[in-house]
Amino acid sequence: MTIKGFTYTAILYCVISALPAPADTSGILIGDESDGSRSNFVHQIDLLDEEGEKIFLDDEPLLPFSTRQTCGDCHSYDKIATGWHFNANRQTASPGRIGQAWIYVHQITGTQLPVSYRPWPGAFRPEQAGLTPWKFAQVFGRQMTYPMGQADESEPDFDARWMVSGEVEINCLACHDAEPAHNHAEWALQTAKQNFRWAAAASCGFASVAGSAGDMPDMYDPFMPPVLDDARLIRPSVSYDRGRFDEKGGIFVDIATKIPVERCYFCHSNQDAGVEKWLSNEDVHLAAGLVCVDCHRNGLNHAIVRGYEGEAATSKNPLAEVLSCEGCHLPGDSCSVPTSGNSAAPEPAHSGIPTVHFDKLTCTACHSGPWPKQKTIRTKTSRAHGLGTYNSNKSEDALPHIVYPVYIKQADGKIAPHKVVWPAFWGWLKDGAVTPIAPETVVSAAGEVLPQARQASLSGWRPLTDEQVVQILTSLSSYDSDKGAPVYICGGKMNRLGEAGRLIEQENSGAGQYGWPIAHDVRPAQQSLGVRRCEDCHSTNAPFFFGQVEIDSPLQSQAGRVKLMTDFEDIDAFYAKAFAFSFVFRPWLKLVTIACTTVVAAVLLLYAFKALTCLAKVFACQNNETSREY
Amino acid sequence: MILKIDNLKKLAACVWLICLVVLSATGFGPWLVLHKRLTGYWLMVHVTFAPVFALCTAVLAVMYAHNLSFDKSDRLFLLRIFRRRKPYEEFVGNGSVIVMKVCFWLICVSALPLFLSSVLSMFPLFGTEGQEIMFQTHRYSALLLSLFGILYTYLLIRTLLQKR
Repeated sequence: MTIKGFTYTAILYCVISALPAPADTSGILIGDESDGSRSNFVHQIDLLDEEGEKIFLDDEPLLPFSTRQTCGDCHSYDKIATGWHFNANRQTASPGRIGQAWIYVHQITGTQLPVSYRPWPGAFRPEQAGLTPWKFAQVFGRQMTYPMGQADESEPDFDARWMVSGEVEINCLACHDAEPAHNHAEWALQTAKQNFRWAAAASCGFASVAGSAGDMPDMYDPFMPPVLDDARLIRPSVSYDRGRFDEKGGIFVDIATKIPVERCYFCHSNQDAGVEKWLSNEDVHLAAGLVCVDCHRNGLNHAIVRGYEGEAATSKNPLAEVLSCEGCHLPGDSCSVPTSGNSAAPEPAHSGIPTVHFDKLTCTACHSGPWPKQKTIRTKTSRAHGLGTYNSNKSEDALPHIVYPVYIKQADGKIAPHKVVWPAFWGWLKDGAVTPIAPETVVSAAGEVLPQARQASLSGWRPLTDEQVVQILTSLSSYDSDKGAPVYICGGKMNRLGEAGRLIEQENSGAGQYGWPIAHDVRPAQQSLGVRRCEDCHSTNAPFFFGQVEIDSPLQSQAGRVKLMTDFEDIDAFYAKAFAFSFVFRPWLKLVTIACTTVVAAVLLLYAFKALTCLAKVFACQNNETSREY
Repeated sequence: MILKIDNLKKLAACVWLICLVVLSATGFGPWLVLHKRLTGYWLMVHVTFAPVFALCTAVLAVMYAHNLSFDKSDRLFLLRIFRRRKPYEEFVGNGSVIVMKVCFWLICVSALPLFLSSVLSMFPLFGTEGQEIMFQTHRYSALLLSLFGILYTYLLIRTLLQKR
């Protein structure tokens, strides 16, 4: 290169270097950022299979679309997967406030065990209950929202068949599909059939799925399906509604960002015992025209606002502080600009309510859940009872048994209404801690002691006698002494073998109730606690303090046990009673105080007039003296 | 009869004083010692003594109002203080007595917001902000009443000792 050429090159280099660098858009996909238009983006899109290949209707075999590939083509799937609904099994995710755990039920062994990948106090890790990711996905896949697959196996699981079933992907359509034909019950059905790969397609209105991966041999390859030996078996397959596709092979998917409440309801419904659906009211916010996502908002990272007090401390969502009960309904002074009144939220007057109530109670204590009765009621939830799925058990006695409202003092010192489940499980006691035993192990140890599966009643507990428990514990004792002593946790107590082979009951921290605070359904203000008078709570038989909390147990000898609400509120029952009793005299207190005030005021007024008279006389005298001087 | 009324006065004053001590202790104790609001057993004791205190205050207001009303001697005393004493006027009141009288009337005055703030907050009249104002009114009028009560008692004891 000549000197001239070198000079030109150097100048060119300098000019290029001086130019502003293009914005770093690495990793940002076209759908990750909004252009600001409030209109709905029409999703006329190509469907992609799990390999990222476009699906054509003439493909052989015709594969189900993958949400990871199809939606992930324009939206950062991995970033979305960090969101609250999808990050439970990620070690790095913040657990946040305790929530509803999955409840693993095994009727025959008398097991109802709260399990969660989140480290919530009182909930066990699924592996501890013998639930590998493979098994977990089949048991709870019906309403499980987080992705799960081979990578989640911490230990080799020889029962797992992720290659046959496909992995569980985030089902974006579960929430965002606004099409009325979307049927999440189909998703639930397909997960039970091990059709994880096909589940999302089955749930949407433009595809249908047949067959079962669970029936296929372990070496079944869905991409090159072999001829099956058994003609009765149907291989999993998908078919699409051809009329929905355009000439380029694209399809319109009715995607909504404002999620319809029905989508949320599939996993977040409630059915109280003895209350038919048509007899119950919806949350007052929904009745006012809001939808869930008006408050429970999120951005691309899907760090959805849960809406509890103090969430802002752990949430990545900038609206976490604003979109709580207080944030919307009370004019706060923490922000530089007014932020309350979202969605026309009214500011409550709380007339006549001493402010100490706001230090000791959450908003939900008075406003959420059913009006408390003398005894807690049983309720069923979508995630615990598979509400909305095909063949869900409609019996009021269906397991697990969840009772509410139970008013429990939280870590922040405030009392809040909770749903409660009493753990019942077999476990090993070692160094004071109890580790669950997988129900299958208990079944094999129990032999003929437990009723066989076919004998089990359709719903509710198959009651266990003390003798049965003693026999099973004795049998388990011979299993593995290194793991500890076998115990049976139920009814809030730990049962173990005592001397002479008798069953003894002991306290253990692992035997306590598992409760999670509730926020919905919010009742109208006219139905909030204390709206009529103080005696709604401060009377000697008010359920808020003196209601009975059912202690559920499969053990016959523990049937009918209850605890007093004050036990959960960390309040001395005698004090609560005495305080409530004092309200009998409150009208007298008011009367006496008003009367005394009147008397004191009258005396003051009388002598004020007298003083005025004296003053007038003094001035009168002075005037006379003055006039005399003149 | 006079003796009986005198005894009644003394009894009412004693009960009032006991109530004042208990109410001050239960009212300010949690606030000063535990840095907490008045709740629990403290509150129950407070509320139990409160109506007795109110009753005694009303009784004492009626019974002592005449005795402790300002008269000519007090005016002369004040005039002497401000150096405007007239030479022909002989009798001059005691300074402690005047302060006691002032305290008595200030106790009566501060009792009004004290009682009203507690009783009105029990009716559904005031919202959260109003309740907070009522609470602060109760707290500070109680503080004033306690101070005047202490001062009055101190002067009363001193006067009695001086008489002996």
